[in-house]
Amino acid sequence: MAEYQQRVFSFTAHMLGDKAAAADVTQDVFIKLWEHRERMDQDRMIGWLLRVARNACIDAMRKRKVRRALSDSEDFSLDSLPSTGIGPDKEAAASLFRERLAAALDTLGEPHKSIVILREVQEYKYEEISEVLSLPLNTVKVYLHRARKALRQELTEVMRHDYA
Amino acid sequence: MTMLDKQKQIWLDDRMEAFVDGSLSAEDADHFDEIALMDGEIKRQLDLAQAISAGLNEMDDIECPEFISKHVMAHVRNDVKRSFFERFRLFFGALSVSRFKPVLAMALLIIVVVSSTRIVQNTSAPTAEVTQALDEVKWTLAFLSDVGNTTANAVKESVIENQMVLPVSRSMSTIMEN
Repeated sequence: MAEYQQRVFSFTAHMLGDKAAAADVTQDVFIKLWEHRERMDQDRMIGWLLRVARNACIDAMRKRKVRRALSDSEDFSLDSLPSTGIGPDKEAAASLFRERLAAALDTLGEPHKSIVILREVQEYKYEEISEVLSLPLNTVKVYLHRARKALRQELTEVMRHDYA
Repeated sequence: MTMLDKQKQIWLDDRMEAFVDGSLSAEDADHFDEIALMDGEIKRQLDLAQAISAGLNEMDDIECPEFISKHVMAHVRNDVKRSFFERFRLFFGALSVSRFKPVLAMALLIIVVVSSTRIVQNTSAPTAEVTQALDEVKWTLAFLSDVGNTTANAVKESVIENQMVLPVSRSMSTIMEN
């Protein structure tokens, strides 16, 4: 259950860009799981959890229009990056790139954002994403393709502006 | 952008994604790598795609706070307690439903009447009729006892003495004489 909690919390934190809101949503999701425990199929639990978490995130985003501003930036600091022996300038550039990437991710609409988080961040298979989002497999692939392209375009624009 | 440029961009996007995903065959990957090395724009786009993929992949570091599971468990415990008391409440609530009220009143009335009757019976003094009946029972028992004694003596004399004891003693005397 701890693993499921970690996955749901990570997903909601990336969706909302706010740890406190993600904690609230994760808590609600697991309380719902308790309430639906008698009808729960163990094999499909993670899919169910992520689906409920995503719906809750969409509701929360609609209500609060949360901006990506993770309260604890340590999670995205370079300390957590694998050591590559890069210098301070490159570290600063990498940090800036991460910030820009997080902001670009936040500009994606649904279901593109969910698909990118599930596939690229949490490394789910296409089939699993298809089940979580109740979308055909090919549609998931097409959306992911568009989302990646949108991220590249957004970051190209932003970085062009940064270095102008 | 011309139609040819669009087609080229679509092909490039597909190849680039497949390259980053690692779904290109080794031969195709090498070929795409060569193209990227020759074309600065493709190289830039490929680097960006790889950086995005790596950056997103490294994002999954956020630790789930412990208080979430504590809060969920607290909710579960409260829910279990609440449902326990809820069952009690429903049970007693069902008893207080109006259609059960006459039945309850009748049962209560029966209990009160039966209990009070038994208490009155236990505490009241014996009446004259009862005393007389008890005396009659005693005399009857005494009479039966007397009759029993008389009968037993008669049986002893007429049956046991005459029919058993005397013949046996006669027989014994005859044997002794012989």
